[in-house]
Amino acid sequence: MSQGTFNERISTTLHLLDELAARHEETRAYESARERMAYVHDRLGQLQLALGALRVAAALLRAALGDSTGEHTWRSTCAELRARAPATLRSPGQALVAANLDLLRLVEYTGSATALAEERCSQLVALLARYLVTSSESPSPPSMDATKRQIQLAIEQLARSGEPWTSDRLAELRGRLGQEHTSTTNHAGVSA
Amino acid sequence: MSYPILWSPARARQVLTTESRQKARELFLQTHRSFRRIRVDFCKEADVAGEFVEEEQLRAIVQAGRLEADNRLFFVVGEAGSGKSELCQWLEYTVDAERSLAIHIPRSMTSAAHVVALLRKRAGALSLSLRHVPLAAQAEHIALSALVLLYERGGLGSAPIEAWAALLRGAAMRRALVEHLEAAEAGEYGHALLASDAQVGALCAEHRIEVVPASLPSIGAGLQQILARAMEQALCMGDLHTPLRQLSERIVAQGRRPLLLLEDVTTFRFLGDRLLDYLLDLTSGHFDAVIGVTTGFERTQLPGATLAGDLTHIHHRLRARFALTDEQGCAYSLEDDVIEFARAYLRAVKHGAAVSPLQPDVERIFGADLYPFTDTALLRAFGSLQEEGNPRQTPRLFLEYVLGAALQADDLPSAALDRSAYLSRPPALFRSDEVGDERLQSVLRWYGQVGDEAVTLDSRLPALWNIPVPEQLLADGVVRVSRAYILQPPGAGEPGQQWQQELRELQQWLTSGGLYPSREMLKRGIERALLALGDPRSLASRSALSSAQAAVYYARGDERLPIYLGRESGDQPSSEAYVKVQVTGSAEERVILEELVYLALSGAQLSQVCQNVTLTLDWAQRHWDAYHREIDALLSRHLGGISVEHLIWVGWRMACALSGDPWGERPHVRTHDNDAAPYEHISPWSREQSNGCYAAGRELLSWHETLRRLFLGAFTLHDTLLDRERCMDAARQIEDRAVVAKLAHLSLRSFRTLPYKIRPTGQRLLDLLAPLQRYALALIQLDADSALRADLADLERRAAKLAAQEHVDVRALHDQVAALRQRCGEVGVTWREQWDSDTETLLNTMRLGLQPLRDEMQALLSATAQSYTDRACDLWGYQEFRHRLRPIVQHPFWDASATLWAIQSELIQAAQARYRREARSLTGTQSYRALRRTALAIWQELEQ
Repeated sequence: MSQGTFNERISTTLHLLDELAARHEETRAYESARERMAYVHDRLGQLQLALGALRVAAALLRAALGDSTGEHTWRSTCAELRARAPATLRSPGQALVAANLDLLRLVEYTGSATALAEERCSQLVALLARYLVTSSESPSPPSMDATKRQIQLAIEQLARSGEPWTSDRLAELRGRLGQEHTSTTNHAGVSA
Repeated sequence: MSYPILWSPARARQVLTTESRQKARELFLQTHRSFRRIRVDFCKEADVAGEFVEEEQLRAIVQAGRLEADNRLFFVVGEAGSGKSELCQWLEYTVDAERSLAIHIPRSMTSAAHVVALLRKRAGALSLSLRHVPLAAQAEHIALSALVLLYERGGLGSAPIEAWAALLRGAAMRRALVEHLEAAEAGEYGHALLASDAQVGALCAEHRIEVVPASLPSIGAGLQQILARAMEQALCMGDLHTPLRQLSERIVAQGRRPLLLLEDVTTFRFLGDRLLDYLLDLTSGHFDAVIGVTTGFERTQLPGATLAGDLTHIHHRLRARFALTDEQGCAYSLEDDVIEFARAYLRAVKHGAAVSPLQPDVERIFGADLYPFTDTALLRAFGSLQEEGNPRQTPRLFLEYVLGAALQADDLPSAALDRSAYLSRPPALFRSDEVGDERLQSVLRWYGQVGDEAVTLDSRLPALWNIPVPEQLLADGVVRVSRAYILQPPGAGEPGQQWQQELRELQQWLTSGGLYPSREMLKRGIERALLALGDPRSLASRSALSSAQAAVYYARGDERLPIYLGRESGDQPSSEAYVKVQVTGSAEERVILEELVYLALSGAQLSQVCQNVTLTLDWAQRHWDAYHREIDALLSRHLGGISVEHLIWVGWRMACALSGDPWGERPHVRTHDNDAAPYEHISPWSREQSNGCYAAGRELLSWHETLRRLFLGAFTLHDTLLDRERCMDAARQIEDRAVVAKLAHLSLRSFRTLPYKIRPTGQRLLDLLAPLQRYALALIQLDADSALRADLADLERRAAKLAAQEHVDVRALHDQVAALRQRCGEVGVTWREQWDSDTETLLNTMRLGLQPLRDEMQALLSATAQSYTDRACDLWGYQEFRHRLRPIVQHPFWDASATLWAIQSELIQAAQARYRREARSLTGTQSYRALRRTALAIWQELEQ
């Protein structure tokens, strides 16, 4: 037992209790912020993937057609998104802790930017698919939808891997599409 | 030693015969005393059943039958020697010869040859078995019968059976048999077959049977038994009914009835049985038969001796049954008539002797014709008759072992009586220390008149017999010796019959030591004398009168006081394991011990029995003290030198200190109620500080009441009145610390076999010693001085804490307590009821102020400092301090205060457990850094 009046001792105890309660509240806030951060991080990851796919699609289109339409689309999209980007994109900490409107704007931006990049990427994939189907020397060229799926899949892989784009990638893609098509028709012939 | 003998010993032998038949008719009639009391158990002849009749009435009953009446059977029952033969003999001599013809078969007629000869003599020309057979042929017949019996029996001695067979069939044996039969025919009924050992020895030698002389009597008896049975079988095998019937009819034809007097039916075997069967067949003749039967035979063997095999069958055919002795074997009426009975014989003994000049003096001293006896001596001797340890007052024993023994001895009659195996020596009822001469002691025992205060004797008697008498015993012509005890007051009743025997055994033991069978009686007397002074086994104060007192008690064995009688009495001597009162039985204490036996026998008071009560009490006191000391010392030895008083003193002091009621100089005897005050509230010890003392003290406190009662028994005069002297002695003598130390190191193992108990509670002393020892051990392991210093330091800390609360804002405290309660709810701590009462107590205490408690603490600190400035604190001083400290440390303030701290502590603990403290800077985390990298990568992508 320490010396001091009962009043003093109890005051000390109550103060200590207050401190403990305050720390408890801080802990709870921290945990909420972490949850928000994880959410935002996830959205940013999707945006990063969509932008990477758009870039790969543009590079494929140029390699296939020698046309700069794709690159133009990619660059205009980046510029458009850069112009709309909120300030909190580069330093989201304050918004995550405060959970204020800035955080809402960041979340809304990531969602719309991702959707835009994906839409532009789809347009480029369609062009590329049309080219590959029409330029095919095969007596039974692959269907449009299948080609799109294959191109989309290859783009996503390249975007995720982060590997640099080369002309070999297009030849590889073209070769994979021809093989798959031959395999598909052979199967059909046999089945017929 | 010679003394005047005024008779002829040869004449005495002639008169004092074993059998009445041994005396001549004249001598018989001279010595015969009438049977005045013959009990008639039942009688079909007269209405006298259950009454006593005289011998003449008995004779009249026997002779009352009609001339031609059928057999009439009468039993005369009595112990051996009670007078059955005498009565038969008297009947033979006095019967009316015109009406009866007496045929007397006495006990001495032990041979069937005698009986057959007698019957032939009475039967005249009537044919009895073998009547016409020559004696030589009869002898051969008997020898052959004996041979058969020998083979049935399986031999006699160590020699082959064929050797004995040859002896029985030999010529010498036949000659002996013929000689015996001839003697019987000639009426020589005293003739005995093979009467001497020499005759038996000669027979054996003739047939080369080697027999050691010592075994001749037993071989002779064996041969006689075989021959007697052979004679009965050979001589009586014929039809006994016809000749006996013819005999009775012939006598009846003469106008008389035959009167068969068979003294003892047990004498014969076959012949007796056949006679009995004949007589019980009532229509078989006209005999009046008086048959003597011993009591035991009638009860056990008589039924088997008849064809019916039933005693009731026999009794139904009796005309009357007469009894001469009572159930104790005492002859009826002889005690009343013993003097005249003896006088008749003594007169007959002296008949014809030369008249002595001493005769007139002798007559005056002893009484007419009684010399060398007196009335007293005769009655005392008669009363002392016994056989095999049982009283047996019969005429034969009296004649043979009183009169015969004295008259045929060379020394004094009293000495002859002392020697007799048939007399229980009467105890000396006088103070034997006053009589040195053993002859005088003997004479006083047999001849002395026992009075209320003295045993007296005509002084001329010892003078006549040349026995010196000390001067101081002579007065007025009388030898006067003090009684060994004082007679009881009138109406107190005499002690039991066995008292003389008990006194006799005591005197035998005191005289010559040895086994003392009835020593328990003496022990009872000693016990009574000792217990009159208090119980020596109790180690309580003899001054204590409190009814609530208890005492340490030596309780070996049963409730009886253990006493050892020395001189090889048969007792086991005292030992460490069994301490006894030791009585040596020395000559000095003889009289006292005799009195104590009488005390036990009579049931009277000590003052009524003891001639000198002071002397007896002094003797008892010495033995009491010696025994008490021994018991006390034994216990003290096992207690390591602690006396029982010191044990109780220290034990009670310990218990009082434990019960919260300690005493210093002056003890008290206050009770303690365990239920009213829990141990933890009254004990000087705390479980936390002195767990050893606390636990051992709790156990000892359960003995508080026992120790209080022991203290009452040891140190008080009454319930609340201390025995000042004993208390002061104890206080002065007892070194408490030393006693506690000894108690602590006591070995209790030996107490398991020591029989000390606490009375009246019945607890074993060991059961008290065990907690006492444990507590003492805990006490001596406690350093009182160090413990005091620690307590004072604690007290000062408490004082400081108390001082710190001097300026507490009680109102604010009230609000704070409420806040604490609310916080408890917030963090999930349940608010307990106890906390309510404790906080309320605390608030009240604070409202009232803490000054009284502070004053109390200060006073204790000052007093203690003052007491122990120049000396160390001892055990009792420390306990006293602890008792003063107890109300301070048990003040509710401390508990309430502790509760307040406990609430806060619990609250903080709960809050710390409930409230998390994991908050960090978000931007400093790894996750945020990864987020930033992603965001920057996007930005770079957008900028390309």
